[in-house]
Amino acid sequence: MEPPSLHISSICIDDLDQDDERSSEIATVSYIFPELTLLGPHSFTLSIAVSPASPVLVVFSDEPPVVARTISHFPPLQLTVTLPESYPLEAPPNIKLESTWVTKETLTRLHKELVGQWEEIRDQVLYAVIDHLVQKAEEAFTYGRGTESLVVSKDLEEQLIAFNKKSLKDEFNKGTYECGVCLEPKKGKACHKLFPCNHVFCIICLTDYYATSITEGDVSNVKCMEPSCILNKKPKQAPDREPTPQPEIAEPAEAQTLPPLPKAILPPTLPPEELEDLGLSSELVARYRVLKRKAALDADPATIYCPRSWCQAPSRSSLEEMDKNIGTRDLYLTEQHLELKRAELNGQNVDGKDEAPPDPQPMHHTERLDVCSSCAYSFCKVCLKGWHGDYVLCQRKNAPKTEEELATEEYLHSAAAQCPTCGAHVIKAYGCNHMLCRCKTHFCFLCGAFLMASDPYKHFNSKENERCYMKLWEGEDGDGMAGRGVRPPDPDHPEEEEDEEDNLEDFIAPFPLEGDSDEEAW
Amino acid sequence: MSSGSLRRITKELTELNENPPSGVTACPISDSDLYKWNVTLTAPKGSLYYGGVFHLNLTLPSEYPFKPPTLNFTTKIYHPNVSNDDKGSMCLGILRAENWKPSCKILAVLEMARGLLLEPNVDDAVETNIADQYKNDRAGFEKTVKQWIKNHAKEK
Repeated sequence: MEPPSLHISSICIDDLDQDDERSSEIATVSYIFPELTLLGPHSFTLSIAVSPASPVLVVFSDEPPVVARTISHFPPLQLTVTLPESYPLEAPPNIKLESTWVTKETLTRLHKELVGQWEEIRDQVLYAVIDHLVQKAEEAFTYGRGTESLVVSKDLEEQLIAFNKKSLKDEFNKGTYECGVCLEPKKGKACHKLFPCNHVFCIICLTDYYATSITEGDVSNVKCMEPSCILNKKPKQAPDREPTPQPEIAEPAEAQTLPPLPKAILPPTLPPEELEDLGLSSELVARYRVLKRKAALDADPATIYCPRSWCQAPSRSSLEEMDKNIGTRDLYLTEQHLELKRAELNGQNVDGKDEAPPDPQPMHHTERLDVCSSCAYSFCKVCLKGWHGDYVLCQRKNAPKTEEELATEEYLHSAAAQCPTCGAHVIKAYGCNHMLCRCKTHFCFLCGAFLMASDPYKHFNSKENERCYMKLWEGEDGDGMAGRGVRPPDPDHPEEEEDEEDNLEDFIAPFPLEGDSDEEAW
Repeated sequence: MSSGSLRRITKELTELNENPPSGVTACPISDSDLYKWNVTLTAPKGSLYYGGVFHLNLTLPSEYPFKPPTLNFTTKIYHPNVSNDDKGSMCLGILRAENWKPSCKILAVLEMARGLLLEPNVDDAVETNIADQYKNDRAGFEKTVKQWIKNHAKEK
């Protein structure tokens, strides 16, 4: 709150008449509270900061839903005092209290107490008055009702939270922190405190690391850089960015009224908005959003991709499923919309065409129908062909392969290993030949053999395994090709004649070739 | 990042010189290349490897500290967590890319390595045969360890 704007040419403490008892008392007090502003020879105003020693839980009431926040800094209380001529012996000081958030009742009570101070001694009380206010401010004028019972009108919520946030930021900016990465002490202004773990790093290191990680496609690194940070532990059933028990900075109201998030498929990473705040370029943030979502889709074995080889975007049903899980809704289509679409397209083979003429007749919809989120191709989840209606018994068949598909296949054959469980293709950037797939299967990069999780290295240590014996580190520097000769074609399976599930994986072909290494090289 | 990387390495080097960890010496091979370090580990008392002096190479990637260092034993050592070949590679804990955090320090890597001399991590062994022997035939394991120390890890 601004001090009352009185257009009195500023009066200096030194201008005060030291022989005047009232002026001299004000001068004395002003040495103790230098932020005091003189309004005249016998009048001053002072902002009393309200920053309780421990944060106060404030309940914003009026009507349900009740929202509670912990607040460390409240807007100040404005004290204005004018000393009448008969002060200090016969009249009390003229005290005015103003606040944007303290209730009228509390202000009246405070006022009474302050006048009471004078009545007790009937002498100079300015210091006692200010000191009393400062002490009451320490407990945010809760009068010992505990720090959990400050009830404030809901209209003030926004103001109090904004003030608290700004004060915390100012406080943070004043501090000096040693960045754990560049190991240099930096001013708070050059640092950033991560939410909700409160670990502090300098902005240069944070942006450098996150920019590198995003550029290299390693979005799983976009999280706190502190090794012991609890948020870096892989979640079991933890929601995305679990709040800590000490929420110093209050979250927006929605955060507490949202239903609990379902299981996270991936370890929590920073929200894209935080990267924006850090000043990462909008291109990188956009890439991050895409990769974060892609990582979530890729990590979900149920994801279905568009069967058009030039498209391969995730299907709408997969996006919906994932959005239910991670709560991002940018590409989301509502269920009604999808129902409509299904009704429109049902029964019509729209192979290759984007839109079918609307059919107002509501038709049966089916579990088999899916629609590409990007090119709107409607296809059957089972046979991966254009939608053929409900009553066709379809099976997965191998369509003749295009040149591109053949080339991809050849590349995958020569450079990539395939997880024996989920069929995901993997190339190796570096490290040993013991691979751990994101589906948690251990396998050998050289021959693709399934390895027992309990003893994955046995494979490389047994003489019987001629091909891989003592070759754990072969191609350690891995450029994708090293250490992996072209596998001889399997005579039993000249071309893929896999069952439906396997073939689906071929279409999924997440091509982890752009360096978005979901796979973990050991 | 490369200037930042170099500054950070210099800082770590200063810290290591001011507060050298016990039983470990570590310094860059030459002043011109701070990304390649020579490390000497002396096994702590009470360790099966006590009496041995082990030389290692520590290599910092150019992206350090965004990427983990690599640590290789140049002295042959009979240990479940060190590959039994001419590389002497280690691949566990914070040395793994997915466990590494930019605020991990070289000191932590060195302490982890020395800790492994005190107690091998058999659950994350690279040499499973050695780990099995450690678990099931401690006497035989110790014998080989001592033999190897005698043959390879005695300071001349």
